[in-house]
Parts: sequence; structure tokens; C-alpha cells
Amino acid sequence: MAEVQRDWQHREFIESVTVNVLKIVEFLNKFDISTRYRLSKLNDQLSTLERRMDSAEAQLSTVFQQQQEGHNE
Amino acid sequence: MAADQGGEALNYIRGFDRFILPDDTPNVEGPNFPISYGSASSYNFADREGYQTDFVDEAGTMARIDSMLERGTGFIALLYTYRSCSKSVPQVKSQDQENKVELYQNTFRVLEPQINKLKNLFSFVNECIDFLLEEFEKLAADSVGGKKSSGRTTSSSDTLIWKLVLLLDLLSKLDALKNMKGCNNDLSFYKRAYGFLRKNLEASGLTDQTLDNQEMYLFLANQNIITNTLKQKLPQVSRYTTVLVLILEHCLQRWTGNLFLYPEEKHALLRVIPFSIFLYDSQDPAAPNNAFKTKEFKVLDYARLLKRYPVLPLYGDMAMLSSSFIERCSNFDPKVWEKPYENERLNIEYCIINRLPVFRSLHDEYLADFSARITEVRRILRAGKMVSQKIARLLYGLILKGFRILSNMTSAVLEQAAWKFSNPYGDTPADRNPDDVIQYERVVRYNYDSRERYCLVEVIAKIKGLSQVMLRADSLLMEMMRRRVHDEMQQFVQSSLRDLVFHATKKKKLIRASLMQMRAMAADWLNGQEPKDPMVDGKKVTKKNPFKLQIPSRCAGPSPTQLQLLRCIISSLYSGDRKGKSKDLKPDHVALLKSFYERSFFYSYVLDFQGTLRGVTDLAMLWYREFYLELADADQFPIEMSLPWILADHILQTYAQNPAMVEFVLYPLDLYNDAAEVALRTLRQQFMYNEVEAEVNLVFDQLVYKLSETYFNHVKVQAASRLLDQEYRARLASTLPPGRLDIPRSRFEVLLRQRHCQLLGRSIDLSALVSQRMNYALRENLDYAITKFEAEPFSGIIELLESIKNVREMHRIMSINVTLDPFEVMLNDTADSSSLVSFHGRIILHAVFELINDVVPNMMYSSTTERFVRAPVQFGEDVERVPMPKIPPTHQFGTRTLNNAYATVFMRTKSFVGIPHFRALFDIVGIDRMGLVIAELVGHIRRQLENKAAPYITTLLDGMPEQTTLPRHSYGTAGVIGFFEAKLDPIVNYDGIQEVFQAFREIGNSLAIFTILDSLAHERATLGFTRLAPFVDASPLTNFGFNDEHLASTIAGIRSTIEATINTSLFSELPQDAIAAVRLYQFELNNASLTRYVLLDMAKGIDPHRNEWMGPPSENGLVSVDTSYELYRLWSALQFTFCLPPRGDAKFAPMDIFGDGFCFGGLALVYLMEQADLFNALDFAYHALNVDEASEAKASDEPSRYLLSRAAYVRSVNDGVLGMLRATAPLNTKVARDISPPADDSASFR
Repeated sequence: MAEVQRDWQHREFIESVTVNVLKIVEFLNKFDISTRYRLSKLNDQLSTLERRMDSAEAQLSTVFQQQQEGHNE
Repeated sequence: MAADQGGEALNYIRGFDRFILPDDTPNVEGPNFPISYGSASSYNFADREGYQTDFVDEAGTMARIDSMLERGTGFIALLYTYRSCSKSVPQVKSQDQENKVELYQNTFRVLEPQINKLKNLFSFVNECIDFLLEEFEKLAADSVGGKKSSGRTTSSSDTLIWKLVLLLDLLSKLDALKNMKGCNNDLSFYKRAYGFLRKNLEASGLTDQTLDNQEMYLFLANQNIITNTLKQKLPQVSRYTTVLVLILEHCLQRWTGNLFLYPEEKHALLRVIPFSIFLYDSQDPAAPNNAFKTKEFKVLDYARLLKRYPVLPLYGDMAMLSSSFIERCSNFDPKVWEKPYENERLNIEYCIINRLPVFRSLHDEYLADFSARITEVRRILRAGKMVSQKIARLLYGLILKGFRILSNMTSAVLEQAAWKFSNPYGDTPADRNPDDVIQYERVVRYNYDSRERYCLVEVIAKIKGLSQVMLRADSLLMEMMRRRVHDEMQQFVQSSLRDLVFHATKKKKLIRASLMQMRAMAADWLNGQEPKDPMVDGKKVTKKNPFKLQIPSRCAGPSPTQLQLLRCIISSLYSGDRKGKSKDLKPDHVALLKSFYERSFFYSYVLDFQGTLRGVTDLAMLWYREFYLELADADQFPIEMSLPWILADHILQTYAQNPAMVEFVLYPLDLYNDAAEVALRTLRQQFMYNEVEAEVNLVFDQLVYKLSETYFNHVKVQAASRLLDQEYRARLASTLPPGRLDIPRSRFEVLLRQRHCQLLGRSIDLSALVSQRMNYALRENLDYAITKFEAEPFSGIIELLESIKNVREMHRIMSINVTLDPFEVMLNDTADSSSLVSFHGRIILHAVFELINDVVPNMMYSSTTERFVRAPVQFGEDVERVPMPKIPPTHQFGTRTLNNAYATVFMRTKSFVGIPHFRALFDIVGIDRMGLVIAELVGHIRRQLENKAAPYITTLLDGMPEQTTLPRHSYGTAGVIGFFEAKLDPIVNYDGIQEVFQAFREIGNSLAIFTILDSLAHERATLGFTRLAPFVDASPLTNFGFNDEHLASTIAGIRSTIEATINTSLFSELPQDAIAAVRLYQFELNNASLTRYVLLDMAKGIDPHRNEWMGPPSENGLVSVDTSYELYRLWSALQFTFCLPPRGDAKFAPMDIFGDGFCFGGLALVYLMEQADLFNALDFAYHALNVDEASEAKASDEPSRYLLSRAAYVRSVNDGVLGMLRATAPLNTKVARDISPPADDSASFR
């Protein structure tokens, strides 16, 4: 008889752990999603910057080219 | 210590709420989370001994059935995913083959594990049948004499019968799967190999398998062997029919009471009914158990139920006809068994399109309800309050309702699929050969029409979307629901049962023992101690016997076994008609028990919230096609035949017709998640997962590609229709079918903001993928536009400008949703004009190329229209251009209608080159980057002057007649003309006269271009100035002069306003900057004209020839009137020739070939030589005109009239040109000289 009663208590403890693990999992999921969202935005900005850098570098190289040519002449 | 740590941990978890986790991604996908945590636990009745009830034995049986069902699921997976190995095993072709032994050995080695699995299946089936017979025996005995005969203390419960239903269903499924699969081939190969290797194998200690193999062979080869064996063996059990009736009744009860939740449960129920009838029906017509005549159950009830369900999902892509079992009955009587409904009605019932409105309203209403409740609960919890019992009860009901809605939708989808499987599309699509169409295409690809596809997508989206919303509330609900179930159950056990116990104790009823068992096993007493309740002892609560019941609340549901056993006891109590217990109960007691029994049926579903949600939303079977693969003898079908892709693709293909659906495009892909889940967890086959994964890889690439394409095209159409001249668009639209030129609305935003879609556990940044493609596509589009320009004459620049504007507009529209590089960067990259040190680029280079190689040498300028048109005869060389690229319509203006509309616009400017074209050049290249055009044109003039004009002039001056006194008026017009023609014969008939004209045309055309550029530059400058004017206090009324003070005060005013609101020092240098900017502008405003610059440059070019072209000094010290060594004389001769009609067999007169450019070129030289006035006075053609004007009898002969009309025209052009030249490049005014008239007329008669 007492076993059944104790079982209720044990189960309550287990449930409480389960619920809280679930909460942790939910938090981690939210965190994951939010982080991915923010990383994605950052990634967007970085790749745009990268491309702009490339294009700036290409622009700049035209100057060096001319300097070089001027030098050679 | 531990408690402290626990408390600390809980505090941390509570602290999670404080984190702000932004995510601006609209939710348009199924319930997929990076981490999932299942909290359901099944002990498989392991703890049954702990609860002291009469049902321990039965619980043991149920545990056994459960483990059998689990193993059975494994065998179902084995059979369903069975791919015959023998196909790829090489055969021994002849008996004397060298590697025969090796082949057999390897065949044996490869096939043995497969065959062993099949053997296990065989023994499992036998075990199941034996077990069923055993259980039937017990149940039959129960039903006759109750506990006495069976030796059991209680009768079997509903739950046990339900488990038997599942077991029967398992066997019928296994049978159907075995029928479908060709496992037999593998066995034949194996048998042959075994037969060959037998002796060796036996020697190595293996037992003889020959008999086993033979038995296996029969098992695999015979159709329906499992169900038939069961049917044959059942009569060994006496009164087995009663058990079947029990099962049938149970099914009907569940059906009418709605006591099922998963679609699979519903279908199992419906599948087992015909199977049980088949088992019931005796093969012997004389036997009493004729299913169609028996009175043990009403077969008609079942026939009516199955009328609506003639087709049921069986497993994966297999459907089952419910009539298949019925028609196998020996006593089948079509008169008794009602036929299914007509096909039309069934079509309406099965196709979800007819149920969509109901689904929609149910779903929408529910979603609103659920979200409102959840928000309410969160608010209560945030306020630190407890959620009331009432709300908990409402939520519990709401969750169940949600499960039910989801389950109904899911089973509708699965049933529709089954219906489609059994009703294939009969026709052949127009573009296909009927023999090439495989069966799977007929049941899936062509079997859902457009509306059905949309409908299916919508229902899938509703299922997945709703379950996502519910899952997100998991942790919130989990706690509350556990408490709710606990409290309700304790209410029942501790409070509601009291009255029954009291009644039973008082009346000394048999049921008291069961009631007390229930209290003992299920109650959760306050403080763990059963209170002393007088009612339990059969006494009323009075003042003498006071008692106050207190029920504890706890967040913990019952254990599965506990719940199951409690329900067993209850069901055995009230459904005890056949056991004689129910007469112990009052009707309201029966009602009480029954209502709790039915309510508690759903406890386990609610407690396993996550698992149930997955169960009622699992649509994996829409992907699986093992049955049809086997039929088609194919390894795998291409994605065009795969339902998820068909659905996603359909949405994108028909975007124009139904743009709103695009938001649903990710939901069909969720079927892959389901399919992968099933492959991993249910089927447990890695190769299945690999196949799903391979398809997903392919599909996702395709999806991104098609999505990008559709989006690009959509934006293209948007931009093109927006940029089309509004009035033109309105007029054009009135001539077209409605809607053709409407600006489409965009529904892509939601999709393009997806930064983390979950697919097979991977997170995909859809937004970035599309951005990347759009960055590329826009550049590609610009490249097409520029390449097209490069393949076209200069007039194509208008189209280029429109294309660039279009892409710029697209860029603007897209930038709202995706991250793009700045447009200028894209344009400069594509046009190769990103250099910092030169202004070269593809556009400008081609423009220069066209101007110098085509416009200047090949076109005629008209000073009236300020346009160049193509000359009928080409003098310059053929212009070589790059080949015209093949541009997809999507990269032009989107649709055929728009392409045509724009083509019409471009037609207007295709045939000439004029102000609009140069304006376009300014717009594209920018006024500050025109340097190359100018430099090249100036260079061209200089080259023409040096290399062509000057040498010709030298040559032709030689050919000029010594004397060219203007003839007297009295000769008459014709005489004068005749005189000039005769005199100028060497020039007129000069062989290279056309080349001479050409040289002057090229100079003149170039000059004409400069005048156009000049006027445009002024236009720009004026525009700029009007914008600037308010800042420098210039208005038409004020006397304009640059007024720095005003500017400074204006800026200072603005600055103080800004600084009043924003404290910043950023603006401190603003006034100085503005003034500097104004100065820069001012310079431009007064900028000298381009033409002037060119003329001055030309003058420098003339300098070396000046002496030659001046001719010898005149004898009279003023003007040589009679001689003709000066340039202007030569020019008069050329101009005269120019005005003549076509000579010889020439088709065109010079004027019709070279245009006004000729006049521009020559006259500019004459003007720069300061001979313009002399030219005006002494020109030959002018003279002829003057003569004609002065004489009364006008010339009437055709050649003269021709010449005169041309001369008049040339004179008007010349006047204009001279006016322009004088205005732009005024020469030093000559000092006037006094000249006395001659003393007499003698000089004039010399």
C-alpha cells in the first residue's frame, strides 16, 4: 500500500525533473533559432561586405596597375 | 544540500524567461525543432505486480501482446522495405562454369542473412497464430462460465480485446505485405546455392535446412497463407466464434463511441471488421456460423459502416479493399452485404477538397481559441498566480479537441491517398506515350488535379502548422495537464467512489472488493495515509462521525500500468452484463463509472502530449512507394513523381494564378521530415533514410532554383509594368485581356525571411540562398542587357537604358526582402567600369565604337530634326559586332505582353539616332564620364582633317578653274547653272568625289554630335541650377549673382534647426562644404561649350594649311573675286556638285547620301578660315539662287529646278550652321577698312 503512495511521490519528482528538462530543451531550441537568425543576418552583412571589399580591391588594383605602367614607361 | 541545488537549478530555469531571443522569421514550416525531448515512458506493464489487483495476469498477457506487436512492427518494416537481393546476384549460367563453386558460396553468404530474417518472420507468424488460439480459448471459456471455467478471477477487459484487434490487424497486414513482395526469388536462389553446397555445409556443422527451406518456400509462395492458416486453425478452439463476435462488437462500440484517436487506430478498427467476419464465416455451408445469416451479430451493421470505407490505407503506398476479405467468405451473399456507395459519392467522401471548407473553419476557430487560452495562461503565470481548475479543465478539453481535429485531417489525407491508389488516372497525358506511363504516375502524379494539389497543400499546412503551435506550448501544458489528470482521477477515486463503496458495503455487494482495490491502487492520499472515512465502513457522515475529505493536488499523472489496470477494473464492473456484476450497481453508478471510463481513455494521449501530436500528424506514408517500386521493378522514382515535390513544384509553377499559396511551399517538404523519421525510427532502415536524404538534396536544390526563378520573374514583371509609361499602359491594357498589364502583388516576403528552415535536422538559411542567387541573377541580367547593346547599333542605347532602369527598379524592390550589393557596384562590375583611373567600360567603349564606326561614317544628319538616319548607301566598312545573345524572356521584361509593349516603345527610336539616344548615354554613363566619347570624337575629326580632308583639298584646289567670275544675271538661271557646270567639270567629274564628300560628312557628323551633346549638357546644367537656386537665393526676379552670404545663412538656419533637436558637431563644416560645392557647380554652369572646344581644336589642326587654303594674296588687296584658289571657292564648287542630281547610273544624289553633315564639316572649315562672309557673297549655288530669285522668268527645266531647290535647302542649313558657329566660337572681329569706290566702271568690264 505504502508503495503506491511512495510511487506517487517518486513520480512527482520525476515529472518535475522531466518538465524542467523540457523547459531547458525549449529554451535551447529558442536560443538555437534566435542565434541562427542573428548569425544569418550577420552572415548577410559579412558577405555583402566581403563582396564590396572584393570590388573595392578590384578598383584599387586599377590604380596600382597604372602606377606600375607609369613606372615601366 | 540536494534540495538547495535543486532549488538553484530551478531558479536558473526560471531565469530563461528573462532572455530576449529575437527571431523575426515568420513561421511557415512544420513542427521541427533542433532538439526534441520525448518524455513518454512505457514500462510495458513491468510494474503490474506492484498494484495488487485481479488483473495482474491479464496485464501480463497484454505485456506479451505489446511485445509481439513491437516485434511485428519490425517484421512489417522488414517486408515493406524488402528489396530483392537476387536481382543483383550473378547467376550460374552453365553447369561447367569455372567459378561455379565460388558463385554459389558467395550467393549463399549474401543471401543467408536475408533468408534468416524471413525464417524469423515465419516462426513469428506461427507463434502469433498459436498465441491467438490460446487467447481465444481463454476468452471463449470466460464467456461461457465466467471465473469458474477459466480459473480466472475476473473477465477480460476491453483493453485486452483491443490488443487482440491490433494483433489480428498485424497478421492481416503481414499477409498483404508478403503477397506483394517477391521474397520468393531470393529464396529460390538461396535454395539452389544451398542444394549445391549442402554437403560441405553439413560437414562444417550446419544442420540440414532442406525441409525448412521447402516449408519456407510454401509460406512465401502461397498467397494469403497467414490469414488462411489462422482461419483453418481457429475451429480447433471451441466456441471461437463468440470471441470473434466479441471483437466485432468491440470494434463497433469503439467506432460509435469515437474511442480512437490516431488515424492508424481508426483504420485498424475498420480493417479488422472485414477480417473478423472472414474468420467467422465457416467454409462449410452447413455450419451454423454463416456470417451472412447468423444471429450472433448483425452483419448489416458492419456492411453499412464499411459502405463509406470500401478503401482503407493499409501500409505505406498500399491500400486495402474492405471487400477483399468479405468476398473471400465461402458464404458471401451479395444480397445481404450491402455494396459500397456509388463511386461519385465515394469520390466526394474521400477527396478532401469537399471537406476543405469544414477543415478551414474548424482549424481557424480552434487556432484562435487555443492561442487565446495559451496567452491567458501565460499572463496568469507571469503574474505569479495559479491557473484555476476551471481553466485547466477548459484547456484539457481544448487539447483533446485539437488532437481530434488534427487526427481527422490526417486520416482524411491518408484515406484520400488510399482512394487515389485504388482509382488510378485512366487517360494518358498528351505529351506522353501510354506505354511509358508507369502505374505510380497514374496513382499520384496525374491523379491529383490542380485544385486537389492546392487543397492537399493547404490541409498539410494546417496539420503541420497547428501541431507546431501546440507543440510550442508543450512545457507550459505538460505541467498543467499532469496536475489536471491527477486531480480528476483522485476526485474520482477518493470522492466519487465513496458513494459506491458506501452502497456496496451497506448492501454487502460483491463489487466492494473491486472498489476497494481501485482505491488502494490508484488513490494518492493526503500525506500518504488513507483517512478513516466512515462511509467506507458503510456509515453515514454525521456529527458523531465527522469526516472532511481532503484531496491532494500533484503534478504527476498515473503510471501507464496504473491507469490501464484501473480502467480494466472499471470496465469489468459496468460492462458486466455478461459477468453478472452490473446488477449490483444503481443506474447512476453505472453512468458515473462509464463516464470516467470514457474520459480516462484519453488520459494516456494527453499525458504523452508530444507523442500523440506526432501520431496524429504523421504523414510520412505519403512519401513511401515501396509497393509501386516493386511493381515497376524500379530502384527509385524521379522527383517529378514524388508527391512532396509535385506539391511544392505546383505552387511555384502556378505562382501567377495563385500567388497566395507560395507561403505554403515549405509545408510539403515537411513530408520528408516525417518520412525520414519513419525510416529511422519505425522502419529502421538506413538505406531508406539515404534515399529520403538523396531526394531531399535534389528537391531542395530544385526548390531554391525554382523559387529564385519565380521570384526573379515576379519582380521583373512588377518592375517592368511599374516603369511602363502610365498613360501608355492604360491604353494598351484596354486593348488586352483584363489583368495582362496589372502589377502583380508580392507574396514572397514571408518565404524570403526564412532564415532557418529545418529539413532532415539541418537548418537551412533560405534567405541567404535566395539572396546569393538574386545577386547573381541581377548581374546576369545587366550582362545580358549590355551584351545585347554590344550586338546592336547605337540606337539600342535606349533599350539599354530601359533595361538598366528596370534592373535598378528590381533591385529596389528586392532590397526590401533580400540583401543585395549596391546597384552601382553591380552595374560597374558588369560593365567593367569600376576602374578608378579611367572611365572606360563596356558601355562607353561600345558607344564610342558605334559613334565612330557607324553613326559618323554611315548616317545622314538632319539639322532640322537633329537626328541621324541611316544613309541608303554605306561608305564606311561593315560594322562587326558581337553576336546577339539569346536572352530568356524572363531577363527582358518578364512576359510576352510586356516584351511586346516595350518593343513597340523601342521601335520609335530604332530607326534614327538623336537627342533621346544621347540623353540615354548621359543617363547611363553620367555626364562626368563622357571624356572618352569626347576625346575619341575630337581625335576622329583631327584624323579626318589631317588624313582625308587636307590631302583632298590640296588635290582639288589644283582642279579648280583659274577663273570663276560669277556670270551675269542676264544669262538667266539655266545659263548660270550651265556655266558653273562647265567650269567646274574637273571637280564634278572627279573620280574620288564621293570620298571627298565622305571626309567632310565625317567631320560634320562629329561636329553635329557635339552640338547635340552641348545642348544636353546645358539642359543638365540648367536642371542642376534650378535645384540649386533656392540655396543661393536666385529667382527670376532677383538679379542673380552668386551669393555666398545667403547660402551660408540658409545652411546655418538648417543647422541650428538640426542642432536644436540633435546635439551634434557633425554639421559644423556643412556651410563651408556647401559653398565649395556651389563653386564647383558655378564653374560648370558657365562652362564653355564642347563645340567651342572642338572648333578651337580644329582651328589648331587647320593652322598648318592656313596659307595654302588662303590662296595667293588678291591683286586688289581686298578680295580675289575672279580667281578660285581659296578654300571657300573650292567649298563652293563641292557644294555645287553636292546639289546636283544623281549622275551617271548612280541611284542617289550626293545630298541623299551624305546629309547635312557634309555642310557642317565644310562650312566649319570655311568659317575657321575666316572666309564665311566671302563664301556667302560669292558662292556658286547661292549665285544661281540669287539669279533665279531676281529674274522674272523662273527657270522651269527639271535639272535647274532640282539644283535650285537643293541649293535653297543647303543655304538654309548653312545659315543655321554659321549662326551656331558664330555663337559658339566667335572669331576676332576684323577691323573695318575704308575703301573708296572706284572712280569709274572700267574695272567691272575688265
